[in-house]
This record gives sequence, C-alpha cells and structure tokens, in this order.
Amino acid sequence: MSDRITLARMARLCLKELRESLRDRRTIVTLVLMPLLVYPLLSLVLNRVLLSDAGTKTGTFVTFGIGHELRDSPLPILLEIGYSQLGMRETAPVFLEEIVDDLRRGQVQEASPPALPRPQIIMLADNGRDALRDGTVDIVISRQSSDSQSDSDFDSDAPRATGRTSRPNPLRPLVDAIRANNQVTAAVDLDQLLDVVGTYRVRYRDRDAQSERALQVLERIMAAVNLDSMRGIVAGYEPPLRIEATPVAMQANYAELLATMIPLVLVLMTMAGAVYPAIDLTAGERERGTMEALIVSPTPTSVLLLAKYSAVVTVALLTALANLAAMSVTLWASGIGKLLFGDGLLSTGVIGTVLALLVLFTMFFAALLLAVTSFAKSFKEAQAYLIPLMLLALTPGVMSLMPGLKFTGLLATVPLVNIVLLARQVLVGAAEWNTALVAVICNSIYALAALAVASRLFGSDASMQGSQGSWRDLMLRPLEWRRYPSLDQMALTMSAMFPLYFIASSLLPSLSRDLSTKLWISAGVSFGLILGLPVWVAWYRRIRWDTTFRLTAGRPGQWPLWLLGVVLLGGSAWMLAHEIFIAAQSMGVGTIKLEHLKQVAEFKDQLARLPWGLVLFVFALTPAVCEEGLFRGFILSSLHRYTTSWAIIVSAVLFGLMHVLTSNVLAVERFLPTTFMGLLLAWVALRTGSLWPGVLLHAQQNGIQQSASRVEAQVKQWHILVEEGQHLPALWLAVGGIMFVAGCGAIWWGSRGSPRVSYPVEDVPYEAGEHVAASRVYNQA
Amino acid sequence: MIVASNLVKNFRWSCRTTHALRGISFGVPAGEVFGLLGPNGAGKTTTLRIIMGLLRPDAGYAEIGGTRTSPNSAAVRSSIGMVSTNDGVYPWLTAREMLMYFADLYSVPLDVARERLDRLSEQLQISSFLNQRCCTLSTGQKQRVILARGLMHDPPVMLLDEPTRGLDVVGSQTVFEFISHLKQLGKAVLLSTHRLDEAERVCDRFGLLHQGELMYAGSLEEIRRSTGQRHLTEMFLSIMRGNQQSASQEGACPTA
Repeated sequence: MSDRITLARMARLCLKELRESLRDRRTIVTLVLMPLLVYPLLSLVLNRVLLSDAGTKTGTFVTFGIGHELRDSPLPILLEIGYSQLGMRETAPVFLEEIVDDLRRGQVQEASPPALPRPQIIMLADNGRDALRDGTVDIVISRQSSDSQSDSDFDSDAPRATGRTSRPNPLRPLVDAIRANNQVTAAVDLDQLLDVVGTYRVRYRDRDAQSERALQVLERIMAAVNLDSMRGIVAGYEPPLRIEATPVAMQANYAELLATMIPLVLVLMTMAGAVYPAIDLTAGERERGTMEALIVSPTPTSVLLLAKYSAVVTVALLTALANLAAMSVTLWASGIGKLLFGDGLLSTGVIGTVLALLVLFTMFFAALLLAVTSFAKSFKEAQAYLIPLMLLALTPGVMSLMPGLKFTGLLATVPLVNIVLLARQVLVGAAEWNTALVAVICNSIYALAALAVASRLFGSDASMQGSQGSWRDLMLRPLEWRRYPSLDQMALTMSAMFPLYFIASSLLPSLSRDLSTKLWISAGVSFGLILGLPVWVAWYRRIRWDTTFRLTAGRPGQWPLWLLGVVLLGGSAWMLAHEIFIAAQSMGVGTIKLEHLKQVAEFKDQLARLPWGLVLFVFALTPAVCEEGLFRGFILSSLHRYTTSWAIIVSAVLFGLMHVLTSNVLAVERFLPTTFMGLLLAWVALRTGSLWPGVLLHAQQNGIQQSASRVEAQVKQWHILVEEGQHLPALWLAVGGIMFVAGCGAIWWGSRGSPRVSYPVEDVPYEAGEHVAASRVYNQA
Repeated sequence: MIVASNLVKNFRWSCRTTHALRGISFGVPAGEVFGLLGPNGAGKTTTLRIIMGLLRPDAGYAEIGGTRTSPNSAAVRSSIGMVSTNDGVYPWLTAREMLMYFADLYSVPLDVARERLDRLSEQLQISSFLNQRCCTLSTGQKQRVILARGLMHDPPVMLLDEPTRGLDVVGSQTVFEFISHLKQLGKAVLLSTHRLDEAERVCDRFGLLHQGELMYAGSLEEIRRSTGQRHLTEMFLSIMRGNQQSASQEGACPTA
C-alpha cells in the first residue's frame, strides 16, 4: 500500500465529499430552487418600484437647467414658444422616425402629435453638474464655449449692425411672426430673442431614461423653432439654434445601488450555498459518528480537510454560478439591466470578472466556515456558531451599500467589504487595479489562515479529551518544543501581520509631520510587526528561535569566505536586479506613474537633509534584520516539509509580493527584482545555515541603493551613473556577472561542512532535556 | 501483536485532575481475542485511544507489531482496524461507495479493494444491499457495513469498542460471528465492553479494568482461581465491593 497522496486519490476523496453534498436535497434547495425563485421575485419588486417611480417622473414634465452664463439670455422664452409650436398641428415639425414607426405598425396617425412632457426651466448658479447628478434637473444647457458664430457673424440687432458684413439673423422671420401674432406680452423685448442664435452644449445623464427623454424634448423644441424660422427664409437656410449633446458619465442612483446590490446579493447567496455543505462535512461527520473512523485512518487530517474544502468551494461556486446565471437572465429578460445600465452591464467580460471575484470570496469564506464548523460537535452547535458569523458578515456587506463609500486601500483589507466594493467598481467600469490587487492578496492570505485554523480544529477534539474541547484549546501553549513553525502557523501569522502592516503604513503619514519622527515610527512598526510578531508566535507556540531564525553564528573559519561572498554579491546583485527591473518595464509591466516618480524625487530630497546614520538605520539595517528574520527565518523554516527548491521559490515570491505593496504606491515592477533578491537571500540562508550572512547582504544591498540616491546628483556630474530607466553599460554587467558568480562560489565554498539544511525535514518534538543536545545535533547535521 | 506497557494517562481540567489510567500493562498475541472489561469510566476507551495513537500517554507506551504508537504514526494506524459503538455511516453514499472510500483512506489499491469488498460482502452478507444508499439500511445492516469498513484494509489488529451496544439479539450475533471470523484469520483482537456475559462467549483472555487500574488479567480459569468467583459478573461485583470497602477504610483512617 502506498501512502502517497496522488492526484487521482485526492480527486476520489474530493468526489466522495462532493457526492455526499450534492445528493443531499438540502444542498439542492439552496443550489437550484433559491436562485430560481429569488431573482424573478426580486425583479418583480424592482420592476414595480421602477415603473411607479418612472410613472411619476416621465410623461408630466422634464426639467431643463440653464447654465449660469446664460442667466440673462432669453433662451427660456424661445423654448416656451417652441414648445407651444409643438402642440399645433399646422406648425409642428414632422419627425421621420415617427412616420416610420407608424408605417411599421401599419397605421398613420391623423390625430394631433403626441403630447410631450412639458419642460420646466431652472436657472442654475453654476455649471449644473451637481444638479444633474442629484436629479434636480434632467439636462443642463450651456453656451458652447468654442462657438464662434454665436453673436459675431449674425446681425443680432439691425440698429447695432454698423458697417460690418453680416448675414441676416435667421431668427428674424420668427421674431417678426411672433410680433405680428402677438404671441408674447409687449413687456418682452422681442429683439432680444435674436441673441439666442448659436450652438448650445447640452449635458445629460448617460443611460438615464428621464434625462434622455428631456434631451429628446429639447431637440423637438429646437426643431420646431428652426422649422418656423426656415419657413421665413427662402435661401441660405441655416438653423438658428443648434445643440451638441454630451452624455455625462455619472451613474444614476438606481444604477449605483444596483451595482452594489448585485455583488452583495451574489455574495450572500454564495454564503448561503456554502453553509450547509460546510456544516454537513464537518459537524455532520461527528453527528453521524463517522469522524473517529476518519481520524484514525492514516490519511493526514490536512488532506481530509482539503477534500472537504474543495467540495464546499465547488458547491458554493455552483451556487454562485446558478445565482449569477439566474440574475443575468432575470436582468436581461425583465429589461431592468438595460434600463439602468444600458447595454454594457451584462457583457461576458463583466460577468466573468464578477465570477472570478466570487471564486476568490468563496475560497476565503469556505475556509472560514470550515474553521468554525470544524469545532462544532453537532448541526445545532454549528448553526449556533454560524449565526453570529453571518451577522458579522452582513454588517460590512450592508455597510458597502452606503452611497459614496470609496474603495480605499484600508477597506481593501476588510474581508467581504473589499469583494463587494471591488465588484461594484467592476460593474460600473471604474476598477483600480492597485486596490484590487490588495483585496485579492488579502483575501488569499485570509483564506490560507482560515484553512490553517480549520486543519488544526478538524478532528482535534474527537481525539482529545473525549469531545470535550473548547476554543481555549486553540490558544493553549503546546507542551512540546519544536524546531520549525508549521505552515498553518506561518499562514496565521502572515494573515495577522499583512493587514496590520498595511494599515500601519497607511496611517503613518498622518501620525507626524516631521520626517525623522515618521522614519523612527516606521522602523518601530517594522521591528514590532515584521520581526516582533513571528518572534512572539515562535515563543508562544514553543518553536525554538535558534532553529527557526537560523541564529547559528557559524565557525570563525567560515566567515572570511562568507564576508567575501557577501561583498561580491552585494556589489553585483543590484546590477542584475536593475536589469530585471528594466526588462520588466520594457515588457510593459509597470504601474508607477509620473506623479509617483515626482513623489519619490521629493522624498529623496527630504532624505538628503536627514542625518546619514538615521537613513541607513531605517532603510538598510531595519529591513535587513526584520525581513531576513521573517522571510529567511520564520517563513523559510515553515516550508521545511517541501523540497529546498520549492521552499526557496515560495519564500522569494512572498518576499516579492510584500515589496510590491507599499503604503500608497503599487509598484508591480518591483516584483521581479525583489523576487530575484529573495531567491538569492534564501539560497544564502539555506546554504550557510545562518541568518547573518543574509542580513549583511540585505543591509549592504539597501545601503548601496540609499548611498547611490544620496550622491546621485554629484556622481551624475562625473558622468559615471546612467540615467534612470536605462540599461547599464555592458562592461559593468560583465564585471557584475563575474562578481556574482564569484560571490556565490565564495558562499558555497565557505559553507562546506556547515549546518546546511536540505529540505524536506521532518520536524520532531523535543523530549524533555533534549534542547541542548538537539541544538548540537542540528549544528552538526 | 498489541503491547500496552505501564500506561498512565491523566486529564487535567481547570480545577481537578482525572486519573484515567494508572499504569496498566497487557499484551495480545495474533489470533487471540482479549476482552478489556470494565464499567463505564473505567478507562477502556482511553486505552484504545492510546493504542490507536490518538492520545499520547503521560507515561508508558503502546506498541503494535513492535512499533510504538504516536499521533504521527501512519504505519501504526494502517495496521489497526477500528469499530466503535458510536460509528455511523454516510447516509447519502451507497454501502459500496462508503467502503471504497475507506479503502482509499487506507491507500488500498483499487483492484485489491474491489476484490476485498467482494469477499467481505459475501462473508458479512451485505451483497444484497451493497448498492443501496446507507440511509435506507436497517440498524443491523448498517452495523454489518461498519464491520466490513474495519476490515477493508485487512489490518492485523482489530480494536472493537463496545460493538454490540444498541444492537438486538440478531445484530449482536452478527458481531460475535464476526469476532470468531477475525480469530480464524489470525488477527489480534482487543474487545472493549461492559457486557461481561458477551465477553465470556468470545474472549480468550480478559483484563478487568476498574478506575484506571487493571485489577486482573488472564484467562477465565486464571481469574476464577484468583477471585474465587465463577462468572465475570460476580468477579466484577466483588472487585467493586472490595474497592468500596478499602475506600471507606482509607476514609476512616484520619479519625481512627
């Protein structure tokens, strides 16, 4: 019998869990019946609301806002006259599309033209953008700024036309006719109307029925006025009033609300879909009496849990897919989607992106559910645990419905809120991918952490103390000391550290105005979180510091070669990192904007004014100690069950990711060079078996960068340094390459006979009194 | 095959300590059925959990086939088949699917598992409902499926934790036949029960466990000679009475 977990075996284990869930009619109810019922009902309600609302707004009047620059213009009078013309059969313009529509329907309307909504005119104090946004007006009419014809070419007023070559005002016949027919009161100076001639800019809300209706009314009024004028002109007809309509991209309230509601409803339905399988596959095992048989099998608990996790994620995703399909069909069939969003909303790309976000959310939430339900001994107990969790999950969900809530970096770290807000951004086409990346990484880390907790809880109290365990068991310090942290301990530590560090970095600028104070605080945060947290976790969980953080000093005879290696690598690795950075930029991987570069330049200027020692402490020594402790100590040690290559790659990728996400600037270009440095530093740590050569190399690397930027201006005068964003000279690269190889060789050679660690390593607990002996064994391994 | 040597286990609660095992030792060779007998709370299940490697003893050790048991020992777990009174079935899986799933958990190759399933279904007479979902099976049928589950990986050691609790006469008879069958197969069987009459029928040797101590261990004849009682029930009652008397004497000492 082979105990290896093959892919086929894993697939069979997952299939069993899936089969068990999908055969249960309770799963089917959530999966199939709920989407079939909920969305049509929702659409009915929404339709009713929209129709009743639309009924009150359309058909009676539309509101025109007149821009502040037209405050003294007699345009409103002309619009009134135009509207009255529309009501008269003899004078109303004939619209081609109406005739075509009538012909299609096989009937030609002989009656009077259909009554259009009456325009209400509001004079605005500003450009009207806010009034347009909040619905006070349906369109905003303003003077076209580039309109050169407005007053200059036309003879606006005969007495005033002195000696200038001008054409007759096209409104003159209309004005004369009005005067003749006595249509307006004598108090109005009709000649003023001649000033109205020109091109107008009309802004309307994009994809808003009421706003588009108002525009249509305006167009017809204009057409009526123009037609009347044309009747009086024999030759050289030119419409006196012209408009240029501009849609303004602002979501109507409904669209924004729906854009938030759709992901929220989808998230809630996905949660509902995941709940039952999660309970059934964990607490259900206990209730059925199958848990102990599972736990006594030689299959590791983590594999059992992974199979269950896959099943819960699959069922939840099927639920999400069913819900997304039902929602899309409902929105499409009911016409609500088109009414509120136009044609763009339900594109395949948008649906695909929302689905991808749901996958991400499901992976997190399924892990969270399993962590909670793994602890319950029965269905009832699991439900009791889940009710507060669901309420807790609802709070940020409902919070995301708040209008005007912006998707900031801070909110990107809050689970559930980040997915709902990100999906909202995707739906309205305004996703920013730096915050999106933060949300994605945060969710992945949370999912890992929740899974780690679940694997510790699953089956734990079935084996311990006759099912009498409590949450305290999680927090109890173990009795045995171990050499390395486990993967779940690493995931949990990272899940706490990452958001905390992100929040601390975001808050840093507001803490103090003084740069040196900020730098001290930043160093304190690094020591407290990046180094302090793993050190505390290791102490609390009784994981030895010396083995985890590689606190071996090495033999004195090894240090000359190690130092030589560090100096050679430090002097050359930055060149390779620079070339990788340039290559990444040339491949189009780049998000740093010009303003960020300006900020960096300003920051460099500010740093140049600070004491050199402080800058080196904060930017060279602090990251070297803290990041080496975390990445080459805690994280690399937690990967001891994997092969050496995998451990190096995973720790380097995590190192690269951490550097991509700085406080405000997302620098994707930094990923490849920092990952390269992570690979190098992890190799050095494993090869030497000590943290210290890596700390020196890291500090040297950062120190070179800081020194280079400090003396940049001076060195540029000597034409030694190349400009930013350019390749290094070939000679430099050749020398750098040789130094790099020689540096690696020195490290390699100097580490012969040292406690080199070759993964995978089985971590066995220390027996009492074994500490010293084990440490010696490790050092001689 | 099974060795328990001076097992000690204490459970510490916030305000008290329960001495679950106070240094018990016994051995079960291959082809023997050893009955671990005792009232509720005597320490039977704790002993089984230590042997399975689910619990680490505070002192002493347990071995299966010469390998010490520990929570991380997959080899020991592969050598043990476990059937407990609380065992259940997966209601939505068929009996075949469930048994094949457990074969997978023990890394039994598919073709071997199929062959073994055919043999076991004949021996335990489960062929007729092998393709039925477990939720449709009767209690006795479920019990037979559970017994088959314990043998799907053909372990040399079987641990049975009160396997007849809640079963009627017919169900209990199936279990007895199953135990006899295990004995024929040369497996070392550790049967934990408080049903002394049943133990008398199937066990070769006995261990009488009371309050975490193994009071007597040996064949029925040996225990009869030691206790002077004919039946296990009488032996147990005398042990318990003796304990109560000594406890009252100990309690009387300070005032004497």
